[in-house]
Amino acid sequence: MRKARRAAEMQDQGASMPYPQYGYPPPNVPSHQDSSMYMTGPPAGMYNPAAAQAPMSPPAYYPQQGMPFMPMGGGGGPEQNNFSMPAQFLQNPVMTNMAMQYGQSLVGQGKEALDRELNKYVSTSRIKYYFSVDTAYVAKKLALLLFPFTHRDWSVKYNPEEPVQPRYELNAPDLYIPAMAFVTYLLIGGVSLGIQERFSPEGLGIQASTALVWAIIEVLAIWVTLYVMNIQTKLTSFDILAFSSYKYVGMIVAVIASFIMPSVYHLALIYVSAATMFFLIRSLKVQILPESSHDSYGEQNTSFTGEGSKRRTYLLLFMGGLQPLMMWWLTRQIARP
Amino acid sequence: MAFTFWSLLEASLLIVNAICVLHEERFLAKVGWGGEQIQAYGSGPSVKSQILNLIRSVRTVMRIPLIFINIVVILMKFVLG
Repeated sequence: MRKARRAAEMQDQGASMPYPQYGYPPPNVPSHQDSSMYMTGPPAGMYNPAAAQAPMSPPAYYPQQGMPFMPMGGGGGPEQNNFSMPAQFLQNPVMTNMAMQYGQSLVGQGKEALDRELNKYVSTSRIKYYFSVDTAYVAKKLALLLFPFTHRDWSVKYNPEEPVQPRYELNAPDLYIPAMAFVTYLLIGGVSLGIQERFSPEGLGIQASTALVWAIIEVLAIWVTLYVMNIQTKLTSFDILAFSSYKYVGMIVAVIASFIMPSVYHLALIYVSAATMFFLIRSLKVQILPESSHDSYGEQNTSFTGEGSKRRTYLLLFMGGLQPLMMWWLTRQIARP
Repeated sequence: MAFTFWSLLEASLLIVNAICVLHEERFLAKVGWGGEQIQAYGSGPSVKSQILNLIRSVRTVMRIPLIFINIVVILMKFVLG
């Protein structure tokens, strides 16, 4: 009971830290031992040596004002049981503070270590960039995805300090719409199968797995093509994922159209395929094709000339041509025939 | 027609195996894809050299892990069918 309360208090007290948050705090292991000494009732025989060592052994991080209390508590009398010591220590305000600080630092260290490990594989800030959207952006982007033909300005604003967030730039790729569209596509697929009386719970999982695998294959194919053709772009794999996943919006529209009238499905699919292709090619042209890259860099890259330019056009057409195929492949079993 | 995540893993294992089995002298050199790196000045590496580079890197990186992964998969296939 007391332990739980202490832990909660420790979480609240954020201001006082024994040592700063950055870097690797040196006393990682010792602080763990010390806090476990105070937090949990230690077994007999383990506590006394630690208390005896405490006056001389504590490293630099040990708060100095706590020192005089240690021998006092340790020498409180031979009749005192080892098991009563932790409770006594916790009632001492200085000790409580120390314990809180240790707990706080432990929490901080754990979070830090997690962040570090996570940042090794995926940089969190980069993911956050793709999800910084607002309602106006989402509405405008969805309209753009479905009616891209009248849109004029496809260039992405350029800011030397940091990439422009999607909410300020309509043409920047985001991952919010693709993620939501993917989930919606799965659910709509379930509804469609339900209308046809073909629904089964495991069917949803199979469909999710299939769609996910195809998305991975598509991104991998584009990524390998970029490498093999030796095309240098500013596109990251998240950009590729975002651009190639906008097709789910079109697929949802096509499947919903097949609810209304089954024969409309093919017409709707043709329209949204054209829209998605147009959108993708116009958006990626800015990022891949040479003349636009000249503007932002102002220098001549060798792969932009002659052969390189041709390769880039082929890549663009390849990515554009892939979309209708994938859209048809992923909706053909779901839509009402 | 379920294309599951597991089949993607299987397929990628087979493909990586196929890439690693290509022998530099016995096969690639005979097809004319030898290791010579002739590059015209001023142009980037050609598609062929990039593919060769990819094959070589996959072989270097995946040789040891592939041995273990293949053993595990073979045993699993024996036991589970």
